Amino acid sequence: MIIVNLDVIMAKKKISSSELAYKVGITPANLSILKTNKGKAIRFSTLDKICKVLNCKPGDILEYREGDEEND
Amino acid sequence: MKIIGEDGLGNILKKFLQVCFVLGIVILILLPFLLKDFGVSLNASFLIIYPNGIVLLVIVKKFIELFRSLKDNNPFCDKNVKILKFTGNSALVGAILWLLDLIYAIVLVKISDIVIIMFLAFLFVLFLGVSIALYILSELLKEATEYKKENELTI
Repeated sequence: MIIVNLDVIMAKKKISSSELAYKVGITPANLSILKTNKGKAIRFSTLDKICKVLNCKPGDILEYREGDEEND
Repeated sequence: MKIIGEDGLGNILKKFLQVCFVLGIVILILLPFLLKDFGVSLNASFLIIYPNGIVLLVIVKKFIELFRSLKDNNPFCDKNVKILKFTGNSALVGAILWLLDLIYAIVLVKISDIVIIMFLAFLFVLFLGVSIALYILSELLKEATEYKKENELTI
């Protein structure tokens, strides 16, 4: 399954959730969905903005973990 | 025409069904007296009206709940899927009751009036059709609810 490591990158970059949400242009609630791995999908445009704000690559945020079943 | 919302068609239908619900209860209570006035005895064949009347009232009550969600601008929810499935099952119960009445009319009472037999057969087919249609609709609504959830969780 795909794991979102957004909180790790955010801690490294020392940026708060509200600041990132504001800069990316999404609501803090939606950012929380992403951070807690509750999201079903992420738009390329959102990923693009997150990478731009955090100055990182998609691979830094998203991680594929084998063996874990996706909980629907 | 607006369907969802306070002044939508769903809300008008909800009010209409609320009136039908109350009238249905009144008719079921007054039925024996009305039949007496028309000189018809309340035999076993007529008694099938009662369980079927209750089934219909349950269906109407559930549809009122369904149309309430249209008024609240929230038609795609798990609750509505359950309501449609429940009404589909209720309609199936209604169909079985009409089938029993049809068998009763043909085998036990030996009714030779083709109009009554055709009418009972029509009601059986109608309820069975409604049951299948509601089941299919509930599955469609389930799929739509899943898509809505997925869309909401796409950031």
